[in-house]
Amino acid sequence: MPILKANQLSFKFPDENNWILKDINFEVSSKEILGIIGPNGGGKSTLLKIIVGLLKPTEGLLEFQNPSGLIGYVPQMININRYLPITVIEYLNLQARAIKLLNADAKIKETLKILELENKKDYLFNSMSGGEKQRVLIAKTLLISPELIVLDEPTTGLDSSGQDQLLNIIEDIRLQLKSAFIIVDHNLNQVLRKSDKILCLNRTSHWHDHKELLTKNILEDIYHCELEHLLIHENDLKKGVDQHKNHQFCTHDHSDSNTIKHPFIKRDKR
Amino acid sequence: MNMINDFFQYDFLFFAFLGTLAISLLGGLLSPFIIARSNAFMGAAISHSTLLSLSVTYALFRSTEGLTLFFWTLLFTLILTSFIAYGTIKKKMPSDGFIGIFYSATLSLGVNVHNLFNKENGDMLNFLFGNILTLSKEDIYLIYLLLIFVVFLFYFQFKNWIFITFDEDSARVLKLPVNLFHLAFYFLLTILIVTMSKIAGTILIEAFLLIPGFLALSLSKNLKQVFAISIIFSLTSSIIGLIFSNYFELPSGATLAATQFLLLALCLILKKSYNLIIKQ
Repeated sequence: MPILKANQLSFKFPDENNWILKDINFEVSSKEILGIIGPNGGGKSTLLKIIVGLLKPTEGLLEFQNPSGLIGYVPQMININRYLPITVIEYLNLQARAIKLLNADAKIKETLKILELENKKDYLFNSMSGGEKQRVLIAKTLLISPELIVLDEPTTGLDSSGQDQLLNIIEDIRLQLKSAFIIVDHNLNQVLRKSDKILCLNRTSHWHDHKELLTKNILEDIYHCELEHLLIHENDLKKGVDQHKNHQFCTHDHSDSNTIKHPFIKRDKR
Repeated sequence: MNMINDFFQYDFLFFAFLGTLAISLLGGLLSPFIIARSNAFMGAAISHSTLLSLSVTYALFRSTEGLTLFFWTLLFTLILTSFIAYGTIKKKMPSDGFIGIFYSATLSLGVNVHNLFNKENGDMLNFLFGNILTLSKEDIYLIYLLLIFVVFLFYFQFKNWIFITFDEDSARVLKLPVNLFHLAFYFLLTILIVTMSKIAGTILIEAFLLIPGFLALSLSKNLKQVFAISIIFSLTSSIIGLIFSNYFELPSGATLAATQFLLLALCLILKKSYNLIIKQ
């Protein structure tokens, strides 16, 4: 049985007519990584907020195998307060206290070891690098021993080696603790590389299955954009230049698209 | 020496000393939260809405008696704060716009109610800029009751409040009562502002609420330092300001605010100089 199953999940804000999400179905099983991708404004963050309980779905059901279990939530770094000087150990202690964790000191010590943060426990969170902050945020979620860990844009602000390191840590945790992960990210390449399943989402249209079944046509249908453009965008991101934030109905010059290939996306013969 | 002896010779000055002591302690405790939560504008809006509450209280009860004035002003301001808290927690519109409208609306209504119904009462200026002479024994009891209440709340809820301020989304996911905290914080701020308005005035109260936290967050390397610096700075600067205010016969609110600002500037210059020396 999946640890999380979404059944015809729909969402719109109370005073608005347009659906932000409509009839979304997906499931995550133990030890699986579900990658959620899609264009900006496609409802990824809204879906994530529904999963972690920050928003309630307007229609449909979200079924948890263990309804009383806590979800490990790794928020976007931008949402962490920049002014309070809180050290890594203080942050973990606050989390431990909030969940009334028994044997907190031993658990914190163990978690710091898993994330290789033992030497950084007295560092101020806000003075750490992006990669270190992500490790602290993951360490914080591990304290609640979650069956499911949800990460919101974890690769934002990290260079490619930082992204690799972070995704390797996720892989290690999955193997060691048997947790499932949901990763929402704009980074198509990294998400496709590490996920077992993909949910490709653009408001009322979505596709969900094992990543091996994802094809060029599916991506183009969901993004309303040619794959070549997406890959150019992906390359831009690698260089730190984000020229095309919205992929809706692009008219971009794809002249250098022949040089870009993607290892995980099958190209259908038309 | 007379500068200090006066406070133990005259009752009204002794009350002012006790009141300032308690209120600067309260300000020192809350100020880092106000700065870290970016609630400075919210504090200003609440303090200016106090003027409307005072005008309405005067108009309805025609009373300048301490407890009546305090109770009704507090009640009206809490009601006004509920509106602003609801608007900002719901976040349907940008909260700074909402607070700005609330700020100017309550201030303008306050001035108009005062002019229409309380024109013969010249005490409004005391509430705008503060007057230590107006503190009574009842006020001191009230302020110390408030101090005990706030210290009690801090003792039990401090860590959860810090967690909610630092990482609100995670706190919500862990089902901590985040909205209740926001509301409790705004109400606490309101009680503090209404209580402090006699000493610092509704306009200059912001100095008490912002400067200690601003300095503490600028200098501190950990949480304990934040609250220690904020409380020590608030206490020291307020007492110095009070002594100056009495000695030079200056308005209390303005003198306290100016002293806090000058000490803040001095501390920041010293910090900058220290950093430069260390670098060399």
